Amino acid sequence: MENVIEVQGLRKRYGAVEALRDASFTVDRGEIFGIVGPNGAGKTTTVECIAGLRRPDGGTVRVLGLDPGRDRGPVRNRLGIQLQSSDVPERLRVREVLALYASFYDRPADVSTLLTQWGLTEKAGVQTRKLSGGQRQRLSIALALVGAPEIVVLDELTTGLDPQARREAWALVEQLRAGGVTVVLVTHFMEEAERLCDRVAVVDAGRVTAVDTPAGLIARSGAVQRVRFRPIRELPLEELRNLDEVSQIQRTGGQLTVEGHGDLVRAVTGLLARRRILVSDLRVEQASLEDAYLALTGTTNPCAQEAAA
Amino acid sequence: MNTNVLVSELKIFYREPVTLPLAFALPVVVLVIFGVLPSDGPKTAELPTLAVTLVLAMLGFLLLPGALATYREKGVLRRMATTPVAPRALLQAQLAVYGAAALVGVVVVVVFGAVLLKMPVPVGETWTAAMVVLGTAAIFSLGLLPAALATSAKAATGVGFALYMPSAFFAGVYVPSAQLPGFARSIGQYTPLGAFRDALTSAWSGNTPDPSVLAIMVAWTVVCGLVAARTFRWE
Repeated sequence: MENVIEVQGLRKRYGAVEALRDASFTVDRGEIFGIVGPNGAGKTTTVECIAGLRRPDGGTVRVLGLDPGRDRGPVRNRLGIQLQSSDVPERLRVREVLALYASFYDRPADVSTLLTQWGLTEKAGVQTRKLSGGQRQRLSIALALVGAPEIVVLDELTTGLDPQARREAWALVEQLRAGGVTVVLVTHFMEEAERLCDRVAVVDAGRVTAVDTPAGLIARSGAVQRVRFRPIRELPLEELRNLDEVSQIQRTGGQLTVEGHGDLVRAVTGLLARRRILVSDLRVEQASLEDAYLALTGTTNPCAQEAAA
Repeated sequence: MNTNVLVSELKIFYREPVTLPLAFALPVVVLVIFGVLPSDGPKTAELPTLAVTLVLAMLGFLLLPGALATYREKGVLRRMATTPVAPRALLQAQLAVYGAAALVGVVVVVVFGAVLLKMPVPVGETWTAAMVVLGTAAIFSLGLLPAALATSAKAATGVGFALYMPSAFFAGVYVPSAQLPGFARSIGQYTPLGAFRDALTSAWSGNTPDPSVLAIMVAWTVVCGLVAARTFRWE
């Protein structure tokens, strides 16, 4: 697989604050790569270094084989970035802004198509100061794509979007990937990362602490999974306990709660099937990326963090 | 200079609600109000040079600092920095638009005054034009300092206003220079706006401006321009 972004031992300090201590990861062509982490972990600094907006104090960044600090023009022509706290002149109209920014690139995307894709056609003739938060956000994303980039970096893509617009944005990001664009997604929103990303990097205190698929992160976080059910007839508990995936069994009246890890559901249902035991009220509580994230960043469960390290 | 950016900045300048009234209408209104008052002697260059001075002061001190600082505060420069065109292009275009506005404003004042109010037109056209260009450079350079250094658009506008008030006083905007006390006139000669008014008045009536006044304007341009360029905060 071809690397389109390569970050090696990246360091960046702002005065007394060490924003990045030692960040390393690579992004493959055509994937959606997530960057998650607590506030102040260094996510935005990382993508700013990738886009050549900041000069790192140490380490190397390569984008499409180029140095974003030195080869500014070529990198900016092929990498689009949507940043927080960046805006366009408030008295330009939506179409004017897109057309202006399109004129900056060698081979820009079609402005009318972008307007349609991001639901801005009706607002094309409106000055940007009159847009709502969601419309502003969609314009910002459209601007990141106006240069028809090979790589697009989206920082807090769906912040300010309502649930409907959020789903639409997700669908469009998947569409970008289908079109061969590599997407780097900086997000707070674990549901978004779990749903969209092929791989996720967890950034914590200026370091990349884990890079894996969402499922891989969940597995390695050691986050607990639970299966609850009511067996129709008596179940050999000893056999359940002997399953590798099972760590604990609790009985409350007729209901059993089985806790464990790995592919717990398959192990438990497999046993039930072999013993031909029907169950009712079956409930599965699977760990989400959010549970894994909390465990990996050590926000709640220090044991899980140890397991991950 | 990126022409697309330039065209956009022109549109924005035209669409801003306070820019045109402040830069063009107000000086003309001043010209008309004082121009229709009955006066004893022949009409002098006092009024048209006052109106021209106002045009440059409004643009350079009251409008330019806020406009530039707003682009930084709102992240317009940051957004531009992500494209192949550097944010420098925005500043160049803005300066070009404000500079062009200064020239247009001067022409408006001269034509309006001459046609409707029978004010004297400049006798030394070349020197007058040269003084307008040099004065614009000196006044804008000073206006660039708050734009470069202020942490917010509000602060830049405030500092610009603080520059405007004494500048206008020493340039004889509130009270004609001739009626200012001697020390105020001497100080005025060393301010960019006062030096400009002085040189403009000479050129208007066909005299060659004092070289020391020219030197003062050049000095303001070079010093403030360099400091602004070196200290400009992009974020």
